[in-house]
Amino acid sequence: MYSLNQRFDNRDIPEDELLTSGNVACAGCGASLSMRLALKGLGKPTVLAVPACCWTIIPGAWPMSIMGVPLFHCAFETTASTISGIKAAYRKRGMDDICVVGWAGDGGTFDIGIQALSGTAERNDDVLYVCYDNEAYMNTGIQRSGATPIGSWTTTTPVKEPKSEQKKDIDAIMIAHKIPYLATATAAYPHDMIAKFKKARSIKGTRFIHLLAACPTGWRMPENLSIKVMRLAVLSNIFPLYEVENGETYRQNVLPDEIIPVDEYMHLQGRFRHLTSEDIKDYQKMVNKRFEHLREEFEKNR
Amino acid sequence: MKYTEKKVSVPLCAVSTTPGLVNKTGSWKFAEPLFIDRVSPCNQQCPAGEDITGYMYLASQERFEEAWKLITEENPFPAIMGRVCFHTCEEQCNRKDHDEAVSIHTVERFIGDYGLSHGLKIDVTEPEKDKKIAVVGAGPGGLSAAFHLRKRGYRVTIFDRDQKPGGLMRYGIPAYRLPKDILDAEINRLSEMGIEFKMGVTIGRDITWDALNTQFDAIFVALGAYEETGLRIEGLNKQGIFEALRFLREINLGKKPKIGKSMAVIGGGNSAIDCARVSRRLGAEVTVVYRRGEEEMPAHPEEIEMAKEEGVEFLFLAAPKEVYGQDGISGIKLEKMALGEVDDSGRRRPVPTGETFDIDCDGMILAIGEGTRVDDLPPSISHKKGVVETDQMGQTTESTLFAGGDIIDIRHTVTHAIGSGKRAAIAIDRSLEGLKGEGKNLDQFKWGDKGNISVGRMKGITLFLRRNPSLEVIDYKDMNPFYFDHRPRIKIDMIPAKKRLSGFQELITSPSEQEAVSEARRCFICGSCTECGNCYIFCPDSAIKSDPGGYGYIPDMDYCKGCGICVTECPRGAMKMKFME
Repeated sequence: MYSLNQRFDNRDIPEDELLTSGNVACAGCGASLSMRLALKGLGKPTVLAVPACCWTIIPGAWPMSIMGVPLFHCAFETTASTISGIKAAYRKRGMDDICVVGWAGDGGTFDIGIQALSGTAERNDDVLYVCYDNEAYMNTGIQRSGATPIGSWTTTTPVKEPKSEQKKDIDAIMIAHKIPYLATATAAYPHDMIAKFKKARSIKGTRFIHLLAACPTGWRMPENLSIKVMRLAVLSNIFPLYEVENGETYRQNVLPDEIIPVDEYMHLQGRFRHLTSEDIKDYQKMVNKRFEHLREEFEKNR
Repeated sequence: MKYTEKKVSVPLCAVSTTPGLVNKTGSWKFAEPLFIDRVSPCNQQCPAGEDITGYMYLASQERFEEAWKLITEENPFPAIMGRVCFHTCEEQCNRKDHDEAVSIHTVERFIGDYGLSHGLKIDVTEPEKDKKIAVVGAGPGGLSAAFHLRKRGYRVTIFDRDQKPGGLMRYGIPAYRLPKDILDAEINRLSEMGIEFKMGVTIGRDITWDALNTQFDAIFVALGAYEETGLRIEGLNKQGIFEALRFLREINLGKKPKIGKSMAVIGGGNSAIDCARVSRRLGAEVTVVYRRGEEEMPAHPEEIEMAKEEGVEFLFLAAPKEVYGQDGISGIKLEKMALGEVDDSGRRRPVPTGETFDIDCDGMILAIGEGTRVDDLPPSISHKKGVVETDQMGQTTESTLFAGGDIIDIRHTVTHAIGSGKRAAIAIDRSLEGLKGEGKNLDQFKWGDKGNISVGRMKGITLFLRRNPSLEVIDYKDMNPFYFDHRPRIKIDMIPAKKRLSGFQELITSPSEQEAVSEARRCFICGSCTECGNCYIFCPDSAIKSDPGGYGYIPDMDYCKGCGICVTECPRGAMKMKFME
């Protein structure tokens, strides 16, 4: 790979593939790409546990699997406790170098799995928990979750009554657990994402990575826009890319050249199409307010 | 297998054992990504048909020798081009919509100078042919045709009535724009290739056109346009009145014509600006008188700007009516003009207002435009008012007679002449090889519908691999500009205006290697795959693989679901979606 005359040096991207082609995700899936890039960062030996979510389906129906690392299917609410257990078992067998990763969707993290996750974080078990957030229960048919943004359409929050509650701030919840490492990342910034997975692997204790993963099906947009939309989420500060160490040291990793209005992100997606310009203004204010709070934290560290 | 019979410490669970590769997800798609090599707008614009993105790619990797070889596939004179070409490519540069156009000519100049300082030579790799070609006129058009024919193995002889080759490049362009040692060195490379120069020979007088026709298998005629277009006003017989090209010729022969202290230059083209700037260097006060406005001037804006810096005055919307004076000129009567409707040239036509005024001057240079001297043309050639009729490849109505440069219907610039010489060389080659009538097949080797033919495309050269080449021209909106940061264009190093007037030394200093590379790295390399890897990185299906052929990537159609992310994220538009039937 040459990275001639271009913004990023793609030669840094590892060429090892820990999963093969033949996944059964929808075309343009942000989640399947997220796994591919995450595994480029993590490398081997790695073990994954996946609860009920899109990724239950993506590797292929039994007896097929695209995975080059072991992947354990667990119950919806048990991701965090499962990985705690797997890690304990490996440690007992003297295989402490294995990175045990929980890989759950936003429903399995924000709503259903939060109790187990909180317990794992409180015990500071030596695991990596990854939430790939596509902002609804996409696998079961786009039902609203705690991660669905306010104003968004889903099949359970129809256009006449779109979601009236704000997205749960899972990052703040996890930061409050004072875990050694928390990061946000998205596949639109592969260098940043791979670096964060590498870093997470090198840290002991509970690590949490929050990925924004575009879902063309549920977000009601053309498949080819997945990366663009994830990028716009970062450029508009809707999903700023940062990391927090020990719940106190904040660092913003990607600084957009120019902050774009949220409208540019929202108008590409059918799930926001019903919003009035007034609604979008309110949304902008909310995004600004949240980022302002984060900015104060970033500046403390400067 | 019965669970109860197996001694295991943990309960068995279902384990996947079959690779997911059995899922041929490629069957889902209704559109597929294609790697396609689109034409960059600069390549289409280049009258010489150079592969600009190609040599920018090589220069940004500091592969200067290869870059030089790539230029010389199309154009024999990189060092001259980087100095005198008016780089209309930069006006088309897609980067101008991003921040500022790439300074293409600066990079070309560096590559050209690199070729000279490293003594790079052209190898004639084609087998020698016994066919002989005569080239009449050693200007840029003739030299270009001779170069391309010699590269194809022909025996080429150049005839010119002047003592030294170069034509307008030697006798028209002042040394502060093109130093003579650069010109000599670039032309010298042509003699080293085995091209024979017969200087001081006028065809039609020393040798007849008929004799030439019997001695040679084909003739390329590029006599140039030297005849000043007449101005029909009174008083032109007075002393102190010069014609632009004669004046510039004297200067370039090292003579110092006796000009006045206060000069008027009539005209708005590049010769007018050259004459004005030369006159400033000879110590005169100079006013350029032009009948249209500044925006309508055919001269290059950069030249106009430099002339202004050097103290040249401009008088727009004024046309000469009469020259005053006894023996010598003492003044001109001018008529005020207004701008009317847009004419054929796309500029607003000057309309006389009837109002006149006078200016004082003791010298005048006419630079209104140049035409061909009809008497010099071969008698059998068909022309309209000195413009020789040719097909698009330069073949005249006579099958062995080809024409190029300023005598055919193209813009009168060095680069256009070089481009016409290349086209004619290709046509002569094909005609002598008996491929006549297949000219249309050459369209596929053009840089876009409006571009010149590329020798590189014809040969399929692999210095810079272009896969699946198309005639489509890439537009900024078809690219993904996110992947390019914003960086300012290189600042050109120029001698300050006050120091310039003391002589004819070159104004612009050559860029350093570092500057040239940094400018080359500003190039988007639009339309071509540079193996950046975005398509590979962003594929959710791991379906973009390295091409086993060695360059770039190929989509694995067994697994590609046709999402189109690779096409959207390709920074330079080297991919497109093709809907399947």
